[in-house]
Amino acid sequence: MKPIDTDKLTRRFGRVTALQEVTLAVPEGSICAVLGPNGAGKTTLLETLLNLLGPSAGSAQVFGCDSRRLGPAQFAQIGYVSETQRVDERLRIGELLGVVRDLYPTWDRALEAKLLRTFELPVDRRFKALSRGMRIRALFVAALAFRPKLLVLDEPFSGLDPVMRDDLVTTVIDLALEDGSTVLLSSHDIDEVERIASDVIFLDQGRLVLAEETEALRARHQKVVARLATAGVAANPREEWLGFERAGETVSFVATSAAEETDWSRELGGGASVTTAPLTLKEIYLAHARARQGRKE
Amino acid sequence: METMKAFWRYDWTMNRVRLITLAAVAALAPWAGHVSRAGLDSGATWAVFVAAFTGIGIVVLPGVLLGYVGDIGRVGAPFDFRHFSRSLPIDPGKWALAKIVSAIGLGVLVPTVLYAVMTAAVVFSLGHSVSAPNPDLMRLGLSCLAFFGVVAAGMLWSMLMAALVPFGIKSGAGVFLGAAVFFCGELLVHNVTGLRALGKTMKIALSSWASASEAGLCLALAVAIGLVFVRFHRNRRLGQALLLALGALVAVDAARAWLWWRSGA
Repeated sequence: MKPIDTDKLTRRFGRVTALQEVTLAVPEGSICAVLGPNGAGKTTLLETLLNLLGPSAGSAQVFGCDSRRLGPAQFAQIGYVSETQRVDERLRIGELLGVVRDLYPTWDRALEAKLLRTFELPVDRRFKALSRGMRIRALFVAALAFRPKLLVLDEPFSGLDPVMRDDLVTTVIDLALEDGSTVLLSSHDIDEVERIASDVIFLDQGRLVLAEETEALRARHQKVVARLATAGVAANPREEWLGFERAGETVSFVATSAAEETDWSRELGGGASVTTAPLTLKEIYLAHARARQGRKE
Repeated sequence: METMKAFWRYDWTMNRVRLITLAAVAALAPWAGHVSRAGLDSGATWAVFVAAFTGIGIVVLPGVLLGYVGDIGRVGAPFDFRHFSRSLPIDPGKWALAKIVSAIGLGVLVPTVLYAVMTAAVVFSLGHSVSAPNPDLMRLGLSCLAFFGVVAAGMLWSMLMAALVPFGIKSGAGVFLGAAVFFCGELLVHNVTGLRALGKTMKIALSSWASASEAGLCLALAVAIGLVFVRFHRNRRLGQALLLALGALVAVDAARAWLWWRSGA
């Protein structure tokens, strides 16, 4: 059973469609990054999955349960941290943990103490007196101490300093790997998740661009630069070649269905001298985003 | 039960100052009333301060109570979807039920009982008479029950309004609008359209039957609002339907008022 499975999930806010027929599945034990620019629908997707928002059409299953029917049994296995989460400012860190602790049968007091120590959190300090970093770390303690099977993180690292960000990422990933948990992490900072994501989901303007294993995605994307022997090929670039550009006899593009054995020299016409290079997640994302933008124009 | 316990733990953590203030003001008010009256009768200056305390207490009490029910009505309600409690393993219906128990129990019942007990203590320990509209004990009890019913229904209605306020608008707007609509409606039902009429109504000694029917109606209303409140926490679509219905009612009422104003002009 996949932790998350959606079928044509759609969410509208009045006339604005924030999420449009998104169909995807998140594999168990994966660290899945939801990527996209601001307004891509990342937060809406996560909030709809957790039934914080109801879907306008389509459906989502979380641990095999319709998202609209998620109850205590499912939420006892889901940890959630979001930059938009509202915590009462008068509450102290210790009080927040006191409220949530007894709700989870799997709450690990030793892990709670360890996380409080690692994150250097003063339990008697009120939320209104916490910096953004401390606030996020406190929410992480509440979301991690019961060893959730699914951890949903909505832009939790944005705005944090690099050291703090690295500490948090390391802690979260170590725990997830230790417990075999699934992590669904949204971010608009692609560099940030490049090194940790085993799977990626690209969203753009509420639509799913792609959802795939990171390694497979990297393997099938290549930057191709070729000096052509014949000019004919430039007139008919294939649809799967993104960002096709020609300057004189030189063409460059991003190949989206490349294989190791692809003979680019033959593909582009005999005699072409070709160089290929692997792409980073960011470059792959940008190629798709620009291609979509180009199609719209 | 874990859900309800979690709510009460949260409630006590967040609102203990309000709850202690409510209880303290309710418990001290009869003593302050007695002491200030005695002091004023003897011409003592300090009595003015005690009387002022009593007066401020009477003004502050509804404000604290409304602030309290507004806060707890809102937290974790379906439209308050970014509150941390929305992702906790809690039963939304029991969370709502715990709010009702807190609002009625800690917000209304405890202060009312404290006020009644302290008033009785003043009467019996100091031999001071209490000016009550219904000297008959049975009718006094029924009047208190009717008063409790009105306040309970009003608080639950205000709590529901606070919970229905869409995300992004402060709950205070909902709670004060709710309270204003409820208590204005309650006054209009009793034909109170001005201060003079209010004064007259306050002095009317209701019969046992009238008090009992008033209490029964208000308690039934409180139960009905409570059921809607619980249902809304389980099903946010009900909240959207309620908002639509309320919007339609306001529009109809505004149109009626405009027509009435036009015919008068």
